[in-house]
Amino acid sequence: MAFHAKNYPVAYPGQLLCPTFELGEKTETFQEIIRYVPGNGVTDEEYEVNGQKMRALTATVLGEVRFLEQVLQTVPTDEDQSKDEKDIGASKAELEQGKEEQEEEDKGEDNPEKVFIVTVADSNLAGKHVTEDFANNLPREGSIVLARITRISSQRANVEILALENKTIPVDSGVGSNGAGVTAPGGGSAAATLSVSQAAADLGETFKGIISARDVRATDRDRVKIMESFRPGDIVRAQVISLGDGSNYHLSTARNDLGVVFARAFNGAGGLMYAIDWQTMVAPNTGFMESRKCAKPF
Amino acid sequence: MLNTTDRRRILGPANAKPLVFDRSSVPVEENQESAKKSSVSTGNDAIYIENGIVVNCNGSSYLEVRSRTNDKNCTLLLTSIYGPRPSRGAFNAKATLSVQFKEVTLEKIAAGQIKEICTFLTNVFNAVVNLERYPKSGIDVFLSLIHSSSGQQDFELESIITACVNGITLAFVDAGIEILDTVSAGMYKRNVTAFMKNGTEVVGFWKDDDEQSSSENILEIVEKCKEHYLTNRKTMIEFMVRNKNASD
Amino acid sequence: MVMSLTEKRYLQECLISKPPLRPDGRNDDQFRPIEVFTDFLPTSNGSSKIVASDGTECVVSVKSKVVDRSLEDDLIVVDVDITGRRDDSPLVQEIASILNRVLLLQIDQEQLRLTQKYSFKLYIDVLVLSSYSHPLTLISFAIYSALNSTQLPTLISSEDDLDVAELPTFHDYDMSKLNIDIPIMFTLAVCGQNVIVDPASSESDVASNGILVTWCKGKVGAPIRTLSLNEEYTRGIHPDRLAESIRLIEILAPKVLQALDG
Repeated sequence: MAFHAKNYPVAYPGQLLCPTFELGEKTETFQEIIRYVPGNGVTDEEYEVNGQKMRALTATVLGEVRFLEQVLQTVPTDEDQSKDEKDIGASKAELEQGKEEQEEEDKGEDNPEKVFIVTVADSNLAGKHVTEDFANNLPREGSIVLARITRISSQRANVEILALENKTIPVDSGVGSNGAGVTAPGGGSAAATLSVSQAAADLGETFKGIISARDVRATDRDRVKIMESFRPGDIVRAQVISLGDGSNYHLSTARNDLGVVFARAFNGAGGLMYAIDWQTMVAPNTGFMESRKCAKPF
Repeated sequence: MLNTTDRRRILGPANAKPLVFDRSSVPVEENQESAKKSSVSTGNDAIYIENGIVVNCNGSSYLEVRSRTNDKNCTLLLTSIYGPRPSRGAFNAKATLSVQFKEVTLEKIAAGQIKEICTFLTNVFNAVVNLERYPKSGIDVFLSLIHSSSGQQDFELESIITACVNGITLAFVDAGIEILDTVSAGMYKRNVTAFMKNGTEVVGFWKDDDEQSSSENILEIVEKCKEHYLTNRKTMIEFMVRNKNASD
Repeated sequence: MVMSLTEKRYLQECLISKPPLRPDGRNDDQFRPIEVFTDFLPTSNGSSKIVASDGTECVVSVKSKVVDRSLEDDLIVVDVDITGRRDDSPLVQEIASILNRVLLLQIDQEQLRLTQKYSFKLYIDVLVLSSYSHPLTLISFAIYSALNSTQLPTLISSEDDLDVAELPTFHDYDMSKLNIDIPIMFTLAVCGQNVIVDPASSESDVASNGILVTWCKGKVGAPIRTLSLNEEYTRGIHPDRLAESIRLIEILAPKVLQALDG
């Protein structure tokens, strides 16, 4: 019986789940190949059995095992991309590799191949109030994040990343501890390596990011004025385009659905504003308009 | 950062009082309930495990281990894990792990020796945590030794280290941080060995006495430690799985 | 020297291959050449300076003091200072702690006894001027040579001072050699199936794990433990590697001691 059809009990870290590939149905003309790709909570480890080395997928967290069949598409579409974002980034490269190999095989013989992404996730783990899948979601390339503008200059806007869209955050708020419950005072790597005064300023520290002027919108990039796109305090929906350097992620809002989602009028002194088009927001009780790079709300 | 003052917050007037909301009582009860659920005593009476009792950290574990040599002696250890959270400085494609050890009641262990334990444990878990998954971040492990052996000066470093390894693994599982295996340690006399992959790989070895130190005897020690490791690992996995099923 | 990922990968492949191909062409059981100078500090009882071929340099001085045995527990104190590292950094504290414990554990304190009441107390100051690889092996070699060259003043008063209280008095210029068993420590790196001695910094950067082995009184002794050489490539090792490294030291240690004594 194929591994993906089996019924698994609760997996614990170190439990062997399945090989990296196995042979499926066989007829006279073709041999089906089933490939397993590690997703969240699963890793590809080398084991030595009786002097022989073999690779196997191993669970790395406690939870239920899931097999997700990957539908193969020759041209990646928008849908495909968002699916990738949703489940895994790390194994993306392997996936692509798998696809390529698969394509080659397709051309050569008619060997059908199935690809399954194997994940282990615990639905009850996330601090026990959230029902969505919890994994330690750190921002990575392609993730959509919600961020708050902390300062602006003519070249860029600095932001702090508050949350990943559609992902829960750890109890101690690895991504942005501002406003996400109780934090650990004095804890953390900063506290261990730095003097108290420095660490104190970093309490509630978050992952930081930069939206540079050329990444604000997709068209007319040279004429972007940060002042007319963001103001400090705005909440922005942005996409991570690179892990950046030691301190900042690089973010982009160059898409219709990305940009300012919440903003207050008069630099934070007034009330909430609403977008009336992609570059204007209006404060309903005063009627004043301010310019922003807005996200398409629906 | 040159300027250490926090410019992100508008602090308001000096006499301002922060707005405090009553915490609704529902989640509190829920917590107690879940804590109760997790305090399942394990089949092996030598170890008592509890998970998730520190609420503001990402994962935690509490261990009570009865000494194998003296029934009255007991090691109580609380482990809490914070992170992954942003690290500073140069870009790092992997997470950085740090382990801090502290005796919260009687301080019996010399400061230098505590540092040795910390670097030893960091080395063990560097090989175990799937650090690639967490770029640009730091994971912090805090160990609080609540009690070890009796007496003013006396402590068993071996049982403490064994408890530390097991406690950290359980806390990582509780935090949902990816680890390559349910790593556990076993001890024999004054030797501790931490294993992974069902005892085929050693991730940590600690020997503090001169006995049986020749190359043939080492393997014997490792084998003896492995026996203890296998029972420890079994207890831990049983606990995890039972706990998981109970919470479903 | 900081290596790129590709360089590290290349080096790792080399060290994993059987037999290991080390970047400086050494065999797996070969140490780097070292130069040792002893007894060059006029104000201390014993001293040594050791220079390794990669430029790691370490100076050790031994000073002594007469103390009342009933008041002092530890008759040997080691202080470690590594240039470029803070005194409270984990590496410095760890090395100092290991050295302190090993010397106290392995050296018979009776050998420092002067009279019934008094004893010598040794202060060992270690200064690492520049270090490129894990300095523990080199420091322990330097301590060995320094203690071996230590001269203590010769006692001329009576050894039995329990009944008649008397402060120890010494000969004006006669010195006697300190005669104790001194432990030495070795760091080994495990790379895949191979165990290599005295890893250079580049080798440490890609090693799967490190092992610390102590040699004292003609046999391997405590502590033996795994040791962190890098953060990136640390992995589990086969138990046989532990046995193998001890076997290596059992063969090599007598030769190293012979070289250090000669």
